[in-house]
Amino acid sequence: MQESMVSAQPEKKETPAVKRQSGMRRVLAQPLLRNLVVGLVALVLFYLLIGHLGQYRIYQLSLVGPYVIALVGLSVLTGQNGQISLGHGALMAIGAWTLTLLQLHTKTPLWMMLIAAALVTMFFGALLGLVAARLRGPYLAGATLALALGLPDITTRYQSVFGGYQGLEVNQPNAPSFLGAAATPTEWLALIEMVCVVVVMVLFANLLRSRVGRNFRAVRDDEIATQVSGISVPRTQVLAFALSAAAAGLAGGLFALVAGNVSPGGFSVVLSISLLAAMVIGGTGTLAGAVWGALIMVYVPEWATTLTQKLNLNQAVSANLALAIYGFLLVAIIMIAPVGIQGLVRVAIFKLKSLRKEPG
Amino acid sequence: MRNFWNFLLIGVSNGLVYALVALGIVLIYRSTRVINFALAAMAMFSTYIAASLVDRNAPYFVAFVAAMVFGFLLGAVTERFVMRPVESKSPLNAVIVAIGMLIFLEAMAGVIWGAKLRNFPSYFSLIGLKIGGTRLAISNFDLFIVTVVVVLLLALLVLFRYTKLGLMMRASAFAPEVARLLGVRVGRMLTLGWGLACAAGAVAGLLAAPKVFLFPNNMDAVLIFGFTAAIIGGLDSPVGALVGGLITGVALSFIGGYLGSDLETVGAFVILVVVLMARPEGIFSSISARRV
Amino acid sequence: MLTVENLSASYGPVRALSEVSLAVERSHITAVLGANGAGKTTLLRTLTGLVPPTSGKASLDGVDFLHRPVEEIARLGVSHVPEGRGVIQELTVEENLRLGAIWKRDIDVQAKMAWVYELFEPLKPRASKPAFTLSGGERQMLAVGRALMAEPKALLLDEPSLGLAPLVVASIMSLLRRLCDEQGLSVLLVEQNARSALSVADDAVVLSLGRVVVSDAAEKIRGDEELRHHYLGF
Repeated sequence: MQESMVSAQPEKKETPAVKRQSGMRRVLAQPLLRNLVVGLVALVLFYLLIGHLGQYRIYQLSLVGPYVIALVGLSVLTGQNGQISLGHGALMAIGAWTLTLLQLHTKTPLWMMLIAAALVTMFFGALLGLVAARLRGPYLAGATLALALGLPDITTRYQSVFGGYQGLEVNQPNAPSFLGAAATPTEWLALIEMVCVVVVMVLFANLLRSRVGRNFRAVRDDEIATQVSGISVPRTQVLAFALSAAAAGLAGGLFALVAGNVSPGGFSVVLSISLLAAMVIGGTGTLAGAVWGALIMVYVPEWATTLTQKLNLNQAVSANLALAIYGFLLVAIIMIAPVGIQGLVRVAIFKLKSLRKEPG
Repeated sequence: MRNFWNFLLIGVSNGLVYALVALGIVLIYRSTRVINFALAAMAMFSTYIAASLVDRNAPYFVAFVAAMVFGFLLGAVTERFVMRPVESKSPLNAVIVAIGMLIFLEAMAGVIWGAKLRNFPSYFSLIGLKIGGTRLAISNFDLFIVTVVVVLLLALLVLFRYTKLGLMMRASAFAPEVARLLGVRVGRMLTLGWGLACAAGAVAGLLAAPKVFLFPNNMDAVLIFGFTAAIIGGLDSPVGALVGGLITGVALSFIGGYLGSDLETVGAFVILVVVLMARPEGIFSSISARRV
Repeated sequence: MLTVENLSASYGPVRALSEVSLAVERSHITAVLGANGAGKTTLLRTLTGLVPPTSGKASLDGVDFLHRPVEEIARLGVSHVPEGRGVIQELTVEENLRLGAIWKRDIDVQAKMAWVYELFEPLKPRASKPAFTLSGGERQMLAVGRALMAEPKALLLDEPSLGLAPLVVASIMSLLRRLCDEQGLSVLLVEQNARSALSVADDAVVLSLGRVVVSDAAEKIRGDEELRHHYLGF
């Protein structure tokens, strides 16, 4: 499968020749620093962007964040480690309820609630990973899909704890005073999310460059050879599942904050399935692909709805028609771009580069 | 004790429906290595076709056969024009295409027939049979389910075991390249296999609809239970699909009956994990181990 | 008669066959020899349509068949017994044989099968056993027998001696010779085991890096010590 965008960068850049270059170049040559710089620049740009958008646009953008984080986790698991999961929606649900219950019963600060959401989900992800390590391909897909179907029903079974069909309300945090009096909770939440996205992206980008990341890929490419070379395949697979679940849990926590409530309907099988579809369409195994996938999950249905609303049909028909367009586009995109959007982008960049090289 | 027997009977009846769905999944998986998630939507769509025929006063059995034929055509067209171009790239891509079709078909059913719950007529009574003075949990309709599934399974058995066509289909599934070298038109066999699988799905839809009602995603949970059944059976064994279906149906019926119906879905996950921990490739899958 | 003219094929940018030409008359065996990776298997796979050719021609009794779909080439009378024997393990011996002639309408399958069982006696008692229970030699017999079911005009064999005991190889080779003569087959015999292939072949071509480097009567190649040392390693 595709190399990750990060691992595709040759590692030989850290040669003495680089050291003689200017300070900025040197910073960019260090993968960790480069990723941090890119992340910080993205954060600042995002902050400036928010100032120019209406509240609804910001709300929409903040829907993208959780999906990016969940997709990063899923994409690393499937694309880099070769394990499929149709249960990431259920893992997001665990994170979402963790945050909600903490908010309801304790006075935990926001950042700790988010970390708790990630850690609790990571624990359940490791358990799931123990099961997953024995399963391959469609068997794993089936087991995780059954989890995605079953988990939401637990929330209706134990209504008094999890809120039943109605779910539980989640309070959105108020913006701190240093952002100015005019800052709304929506804007604050969007910023929190962007920070989380940057942190997760940088962490995973570096993870994938490290020995752990190489082990992930080794297991994906050839389990037997990996085991023979002294790396524990099951341990690597459980670790991948746990880390992927941590991302899904954080995503779930953020999702609960953005949505303002958690209910079983929000974490149905459809969510799990959509995540997998978005991952493939974005570009399996790549971090940039996760961003493409998340944008598609949020904006394509939105765009399709706007389109069908213009047709002046009755409400139910137009909503279904929008969904039909979404389904149709999934099929069409896979047919046109079997390597995902990031794959197309990469081909385009490659062509541009070779064009530029030719005259020189 | 009466509860026990009732749960068992309901379980068998439901299990046979899951077995049909599992069979649809297995027929496709073993020939193209694709999990056809769109099967739920195809079954639902075919059932809606039958429902609208019944609305127009068509006899039940005419509608039944029409839905099967429609399911067959839908499956065949899907294989030929949608799946074949993507199949060769990566199995994951084919799965996403199937998911896209699932969303598309369910939404289109909503557009055409409305997203509301509707009744689906059952030709036979849904009221429990009376034996002696006691009313059982199974009805004439359950007996109809048993008959239909048994007849269908026997028909498929005859097709695969005793006909030239069945032999060609099996050869295409096991070793497509060798089959082509022997002059078998493998492409047609795959189309046919998808057609049969989706026709089986359509029957499952027709048999499930009177109990779960008819709405655009009424078959989603049934599909997942059928998928569970197929996995328990080993994914490439039709016999496994039947056994897996019965295991799933009976186990879920007991879980639902004794612990509460809202735990059935969790139960499916637990059963799957328990079986797979013992046999990671299902009960009846031994082919892959045999291959050197 | 099987004729191949200037056949080329490639895997992506890698050229696997370059302008290969050869002809196999009826009742003749042509051995295709050469080292690993010389393009022997690719030649057979290109002829039966499994690998798309980039250029060239191939015809059977004057009928051009390259570029046709795999199954249609088979139906023209070109039978390919792939490497690793290609029996379908999940099917029984009899089902494998039936499959060999499954598309033929004007044929007495029972009589044909009886004939194959006569040729390959060890197969008969195993008729209803799944093919994965057979030994290597029996699988090879089954694969050849299955190919004969369809009354082919050309028989393409890929490494029939692979992994078999020398005695089994010898009996398969002599049977091959007999079948070729009796049935008027054009046989293209790809072999790593040059010595045993040359013992039954009429002609031989030696491939190296996808090209024909030698094409001559089998007898002459057998006699040419230098050539044998250079390309065939014996």
